[in-house]
Amino acid sequence: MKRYFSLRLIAIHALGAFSFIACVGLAYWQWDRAQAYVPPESATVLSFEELSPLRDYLPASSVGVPTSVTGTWQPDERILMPERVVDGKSMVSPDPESEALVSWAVPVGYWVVDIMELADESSVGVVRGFTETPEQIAPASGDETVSGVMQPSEDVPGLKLVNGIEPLTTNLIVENSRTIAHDGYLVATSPAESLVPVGPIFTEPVVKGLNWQNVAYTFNWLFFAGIVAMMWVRVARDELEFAEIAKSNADLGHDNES
Amino acid sequence: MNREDFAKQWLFYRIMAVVVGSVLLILTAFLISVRVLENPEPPFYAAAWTAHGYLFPVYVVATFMLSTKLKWSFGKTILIMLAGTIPLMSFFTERRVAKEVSQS
Repeated sequence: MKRYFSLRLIAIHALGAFSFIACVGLAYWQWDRAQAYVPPESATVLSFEELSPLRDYLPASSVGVPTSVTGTWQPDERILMPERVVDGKSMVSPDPESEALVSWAVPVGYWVVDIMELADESSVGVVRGFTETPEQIAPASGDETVSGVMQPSEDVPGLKLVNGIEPLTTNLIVENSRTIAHDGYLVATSPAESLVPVGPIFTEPVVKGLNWQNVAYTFNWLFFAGIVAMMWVRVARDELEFAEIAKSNADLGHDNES
Repeated sequence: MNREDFAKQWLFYRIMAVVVGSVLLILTAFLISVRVLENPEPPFYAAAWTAHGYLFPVYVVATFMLSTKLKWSFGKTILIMLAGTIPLMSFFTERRVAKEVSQS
């Protein structure tokens, strides 16, 4: 039994295991990186029904794609999102794991979210714009066609807002809608009276596929992991064989030192 | 040692050393062009680095197979493997190993 636990053999196994795990870890890292943003190929306007299926999550490929939607405003269902700035992107924390604090050099105010009911009686939350004085904004009413881009619910994994800003979630929209609501929200690009148009957080689809280069590197590292495993087995086997030979030599009295 | 087996592995190692060395040399020239001289990336640039990423482990396998035949120490094997990551270096190591083989 002793020969299985020689110091050299333990070192071989430790190095083998470490290198193998490192290669697999690096493969995982590349796989993670492969889920990168791939910018949309064109700015074609798609119909709202194509982009935002009802009773389902907003597809990642719909995020940031221009669309337009026609419906009736619900004047009693306004949501005000406080402590926000015009540019959505600047509210995103660079590190989703920690609390980031930012002091703004730009005006801080509200995002005005109104609910629009569509012909199929579904509801969609529309960020109509930014204001510092929401009490002066008249309730939205009547029928209108709004152009804009769809955004995911702000509680999607990997997104965290700075300064502890309350996220605009699908839940919040559902709570304020009379009818079944679409996932995510629309940021209006068509101007609304006395409101400043808001810059959306996501200007391109969140995930539109895999970055082929990182996928190639993922398999590259797995390839390496395989080679390391092969070398590990070979070296350990040679070491055992060597110990076997040394032992039989010692048994025969050829080697008096061991 | 089986002569024929060894001859095959020796050839395999030499081919891989020259291929990896040449590809790395060409890619390093492009790397300097892109990073230092700030020229635009040639169209095949990313794909070529990826290809190199797959060629290098093959070189590592070739080195390892040869090392078991020539009974190299672990440290020497690793050094010769790492030589494949330094431009021009694999050409020199290939020459040195050739000398060693001709003497044995």
